Formats: sequence, structure tokens, C-alpha cells
Amino acid sequence: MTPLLEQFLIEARDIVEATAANLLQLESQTGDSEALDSLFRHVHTLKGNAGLFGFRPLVEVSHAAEDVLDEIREGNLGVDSDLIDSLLEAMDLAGQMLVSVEETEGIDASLEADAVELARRLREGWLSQKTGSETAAPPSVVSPPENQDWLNRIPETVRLAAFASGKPLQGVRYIPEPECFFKGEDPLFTVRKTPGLIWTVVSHREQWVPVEQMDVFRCNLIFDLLSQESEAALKEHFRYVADQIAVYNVPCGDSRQEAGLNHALRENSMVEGLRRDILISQRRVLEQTSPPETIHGRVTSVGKTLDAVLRTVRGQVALISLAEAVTRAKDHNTPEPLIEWLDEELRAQIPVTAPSPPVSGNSGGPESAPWRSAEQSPPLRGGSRKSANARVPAPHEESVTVLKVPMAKVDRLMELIGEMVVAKNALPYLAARAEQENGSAGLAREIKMQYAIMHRIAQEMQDGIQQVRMLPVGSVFRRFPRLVRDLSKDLGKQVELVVEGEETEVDKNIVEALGDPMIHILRNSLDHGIEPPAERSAAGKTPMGRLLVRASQDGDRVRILVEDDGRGIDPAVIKRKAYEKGLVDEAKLDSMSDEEAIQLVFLPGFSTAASVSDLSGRGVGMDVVRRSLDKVGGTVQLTSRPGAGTSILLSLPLSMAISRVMMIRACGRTFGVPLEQVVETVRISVGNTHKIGHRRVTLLRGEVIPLYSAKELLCLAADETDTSAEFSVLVARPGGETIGLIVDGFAQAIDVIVKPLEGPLAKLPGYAGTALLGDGSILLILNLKELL
Amino acid sequence: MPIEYLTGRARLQGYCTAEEAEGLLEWILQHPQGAVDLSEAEHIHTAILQVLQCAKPAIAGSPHDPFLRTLIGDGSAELRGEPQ
Repeated sequence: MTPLLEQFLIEARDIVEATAANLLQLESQTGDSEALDSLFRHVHTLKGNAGLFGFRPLVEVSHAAEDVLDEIREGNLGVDSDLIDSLLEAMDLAGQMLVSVEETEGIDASLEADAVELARRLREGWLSQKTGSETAAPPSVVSPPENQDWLNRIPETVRLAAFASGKPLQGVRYIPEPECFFKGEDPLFTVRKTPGLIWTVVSHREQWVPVEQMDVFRCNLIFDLLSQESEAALKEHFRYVADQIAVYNVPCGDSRQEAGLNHALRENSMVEGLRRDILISQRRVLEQTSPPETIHGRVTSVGKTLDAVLRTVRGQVALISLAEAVTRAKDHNTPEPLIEWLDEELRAQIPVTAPSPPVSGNSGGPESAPWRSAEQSPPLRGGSRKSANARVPAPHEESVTVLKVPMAKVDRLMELIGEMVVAKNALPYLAARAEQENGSAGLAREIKMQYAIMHRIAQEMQDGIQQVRMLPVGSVFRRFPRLVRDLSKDLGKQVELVVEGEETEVDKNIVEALGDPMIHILRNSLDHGIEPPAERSAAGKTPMGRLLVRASQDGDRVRILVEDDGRGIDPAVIKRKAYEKGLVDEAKLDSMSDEEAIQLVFLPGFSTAASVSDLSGRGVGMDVVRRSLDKVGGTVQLTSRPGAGTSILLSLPLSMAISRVMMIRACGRTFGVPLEQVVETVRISVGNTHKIGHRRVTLLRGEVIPLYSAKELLCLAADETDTSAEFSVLVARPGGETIGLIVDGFAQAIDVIVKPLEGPLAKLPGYAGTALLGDGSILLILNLKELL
Repeated sequence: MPIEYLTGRARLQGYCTAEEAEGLLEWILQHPQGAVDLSEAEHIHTAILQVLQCAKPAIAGSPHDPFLRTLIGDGSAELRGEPQ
């Protein structure tokens, strides 16, 4: 995929997303002209960009959408939810096409058919009924000129060359409408870009009034074009002004009579082509870098060649200026003056004698006509690019202040800085060795100093890159309005979505991990939480339900609250369901508080929906939400008041790339425990522990905490072998419960990059991943929740 | 500055837009003897072309741009062409 196409995809995806948001905005506030303008601009850009890459179906759809939007803007079409539906559908299709482009660099044939169909429906559904046949390809009011006299205004050589090429020629009569300037059109520019354009003859529609009374903003011109492109291509080119053109076939003249002339013409153009080739090759000779002492000879020889080539065709003046240039070049011992002279000469040649038309074998005649060089001329530069009353502002060339960088590049940087952090951690080991093995305390100190510097720089780099990876959670929230709108429509409910704090920034991995759980939670709220309007009214609530999504930062974590004012969760129902499914036993049910009962929804295999609906009950429940949050170190809390609503609070780390772990020792091995789970480390004498059943417990600051032996959990050795009088206990809170882990000892806390276990190892329970230590050894990170 | 008004000469440069058509027409009216230099124009808006067609000023410096050259020609022969 070319970088340009990549750029196109990035931009197009943004556009599709932004348009969806704009459409919803427009639906909620019908008169929102800002949303409409932005919508129009986006769709227009999409159309233009797609055209650039030749994605016809995409152009088709965006063009149809643009036409509809134009009607809305003109006030001919009112916005209603059906219309928004249609436009959303168009944007969805555009999104699908982008996926197809991303995968295959082309658009799938099935999508192409959809595109044509959708564009037709858009046009027929929204344009024809409101505005009649006016917009549906208006019939052309222009007829071809009565005679072919205009051809006589084309220079003889050009006309003959065109006829001699043997290609069928088309004439185009283009009579721009008088008011076209006010629409930001530049007919001459359209003419200039005509495919296969050979010549343009300009005349006028009405007799010129005296110059003093001329209206410069009223177009009074007629363009007659001669082109060697097909009729279809020409009609396509002029499709926006289809009613202002006529395309017709131009009969070629008597070929026999012109054959002789043709020959002469071809010879002539051949010679001119050769001459030009020589000039170009001489220029190349001058450009070669060479030792100074050879420049003199080279300049002399080139000068002679040029003189010989141009003597027959150029006047005395040119030859004198050539001689002057040669002298200057020799005087300064540099080919520059001669190169300048050659450039001047070449530039003068382009229009006068035309660049060499490539003559191919016997086909007879130039294949690419000289005037094609219009396309090769330098692009329009400088000056202001705006056209009069432009409807869509042309992009200004501004200095770039925002870069769009593919995520993969940032990920690579992140990986590299991770390795750097690890590599840096090797230095203290090195310092220790220098001191112990070589007895060089000075060297060790210096290494440590260097380490301190590298540590600081690495830290800053890491911070910097982390900043780059931060995305506003709004990028996930943007999908919600659409989701809520569609779902509530399907369910026949009225829901107002309130989104707050969408600017809160979190790491992009977190943002990604957030998407699916959030959608699941919202679906749940819509499906089970918020009641239908009638039920709400009966309960004394407003018919319109309210769904709040609020993100906020809390230290190094981000909290996301999803709150609805629906019917809430009935603990009794939950208890019964859980019991029916055999998830809890009777004894447990009785001792369970309402609050605890609600948490049962997080059990795997629990789904409260009576029937598996299309929306939330797809066989997965809240346990999936909890598990996917677990993976990124997030937690979820559920609270609910029956009849008043439910709120779900998600808490996630802001960043997950580098984590701090506490190192513990057990049986001579080292393991890591994520520091965010660690509460404290304590020493407890054996006398202060008690055995309740098989479980050893202790009382710590008035709280009973169960003690687990790390050795036992990890199956390293039986607990009974332990005869020490004191336990080293790591007090941790992996889930909601506080536990103690008996270990052999503690080592320091370090920054590591936790890599998940991959391949067959991924199935190993109890480990969150691995990390590479500075001395090259591998640290296993424990997942306490799974271990217990 | 796409149109530079010099003594007796208006020099069109780069892309001359529709906004400049009126100014050019005024200048031509005030300077009947003035010439319009198109050598450095890269594209002129239809409105500018129309001013040249209607007012028929002297053309100094034929355009380097090949397309404009086909319209304007070496002098202004094309401009003075007879209407159909």
C-alpha cells in the first residue's frame, strides 16, 4: 500500500466517523447549520479524495449524499429521521468500502453494486420527489454548432496532426451558464483539464457590449473544444455541467488529400524532437560533476554542439547570446551560465516548437499531441487559490502542526523504549560486578552515575511516548450516540444519552480494551434497564430515559461511570436465577445481602434475559465484561437501586505499557506481583496465626485475613516443611478481598514491561505474564486472583 | 500578487482568480495604451479571459503555459477572432 493510499484511508475513516456524529447532531438540532456545513465539507472531501484514487463506487455514494445535503442546505428538503437513516446508511456503506480498500486496495464488486443501488435510492428517494426532474441529470440545452467553421480557427498544423492520428475526434461545445462564476466554477479550468484536449476555440454568446458597460461576473463565453477522447469520457468529465455541453463527432477531412501534408508534418516534428533531445542531453553533460580542469573543454565542446544544432533554426541574436554564455562559463570555470542559457532555450522551445511528439512506427502521427504538455507543465503555484464564491473552501497550504502517524510506528517506539528501560536496568548489576570481581569501587561509582543519567532520560522518553499514545476516551464514546439511537429505536424506547468527560485521555490500549465492554454495558442498560415510555410514565418518571456516561481521571486511573435511571436490578430475581442455574447453593443464598446478590450477574454463565435477544443476551453476560477489564488491570463495580436505576463504575489504569511489580522470593525463585495489588508487607510470628480448618488465618489491624503459602500455591513444596518462627507476608488485594501471601522474602520493586504468555503457555493459569530483568533472567508475574 | 500593475503594463502571474477580473478591466479602461503581460500566468480564471476577449488589450509576452498559449496565441490574433 502506498503512503498516499494509507493517508487517504486514515483521513477517509475520520471523515466517515465525523459525518456520523454530524448527522446525529443534525437530527437532534434540525437547524444546526454548523453541523450541516461540516457534514457537507466532509462528504465533499471524501468524494474528491475517492475520485483521486479512482474508487468509483465511493465517489458515487458520496456524490449522492452530497446532492441530498445540498438540497437540505438550500432549504428544499426537511431533515427527518428517515432521511438521517438513509444518510447514515450511505456512510456505513462508505465505511465498508474503506475496509475493502484496506484489505484489497480495491472495492469489492458486491459493494460496488450496493453503492450504485444506494446512490440511486438516495437520489430517487430524496431528490426527485422534492425538486422534480431538475436535479436528475437535466437534459442538455446546448446543441452542437451549425457548421464546422470553428475548426478553421485551429492552426493548420495542429488540425492536420489531429486528423492524421486516425483516432475519432469529438467536438465539445460548452456554453457555461451566465451565473456560473457565482457558483465558484471556473469553466476555463474545466476546459483545460478536458481529457484528450487538442485545441480550444473561444467565442461569445451575445455581442459584446461596450467595454465600459461590461459585466465581468456574467459569463458570456462559448468554448468549442476538439478532443481525441471518447464521447463517454468527455461526458464524464463534464458531468457537473451536463446541461451546458454538447458532445458530437467531428468528421475527419479527406485523408488522401492530407496524406502528403501529413508526411511533411511528421518529418518536421521528428527533426524538432531530435533537436530537443540533443539540447537535453547536452544539458545533462554539463550537469555531470567533474574536476575543475576539465570544465573548460567540456563547455567549449557543448557550445560547439549547440551552435551547430541551432544555427539553422535560431536567429543571430540567439547565437550571440549562446557565445556570450560560453565565454562567461569559461571565465568563471563553471558550466552554470551555459546551463542557464540552455534552460532558457528549452523553455522557449516548449511552446513554440512543442516537445517532441513521440512518433511510433507506421501508425503515422503523434500519439500524444504537443498541447498535452499542459499536463506536464509545473503545477499551479503561488497566488491565491480561492475561486469566486467557492462553496467549498479550498484547502490552504498551511505549515503542518499535527502529524498523523500510523499506530504501528508509535508501538514500535514504545517497544524500543521498553527494551531501553530493561537494558538500562543491567547497569547496576554491572556496577556490582565491577566492585566485587575487580575490586574497582571507582568504576562502580561511575557506572552508577551513568546509570542515573540514563535512568532520567529513559524516564522522560517513556513519559513522552506515553503521552503520544494517549487518546481521549471520546474516540470510543463517539460510537455511542449512534448505538443508542439505533437500539432505542428498535426497542421502541426513548433515551437521552449524556456523555461527559470525553476529553479524558488514556493509553490507546486501554481505549481499545474499553470499546467492547462499554458497548455491552450500554446494550444491557438499554435492553434491561430503561423501561418503555408507558412503563416509565406509570412509574411516575419522565417518558424519556436518561443514560449517563461520564469519564474522569482519578490519580493514575480513569473511572468511567455508566448510569441509567431505569428499573434497576431486582436482587430477588437475580438470586432465583442464580439458584436455578446452579451457580450458588441455598445456604449461600440465605446469607447473601442484596448488594452481594447483584454481583452474581458477573458469574460466568449468568444471563438474566428471559429470551436470548438480539441485543444484549448473546450468550455472554457481564462476566465477559469483567474478564476483558481484568486483562488490562481494570475493575468493575455494580450498584443498583430497584426502580431507580443502575450504575456501573469501571476503573482502569491510565497506561499499561510499563508496570511496577514487587519482587518476592519463594523456594529460591523470584516472582513478581503487580504493585497495584500490594497493600503492605509484614512479618507475623507463627504464634499470631491460627488454623481454621485447613486455612491459616491471622488478625491484622482488626481484620481477619486468610494466609496462603506461595510455595503451596505454586506447587513448589508442601507448607509443612516450613519451620520458621516468623512468616514474611505480602498483604495483597487481588479482587475485592484482602489476603496474605506467605513468602520467603522480598526483593525490590521494579519497572518492567509485562508481556503476556503466548502460545501453549497462554493456557497456564496463575500467571499474568513475564518480564525480562536487567540481568537477562525472566521474571514470572503472578496473577493472584487466578491462583487462589 | 497575481496581477502586478506596472507602468503601461499589467503583469499576470500564477493563478489569476475571478476576484481580479474587475481590477484588470478597470486598469485596461484607464490605460487604453497599456499591454497585458501573460508570460508568467499559469492559469487565468474564465472571468479574466472574458475581460481580455471583450476589452481586447494589447498582449505583451505570450504565456509560457502551453494551454494559455493555445488560447491567447503569440500575439492576440485569437482574441481578435471574429464572433460566430
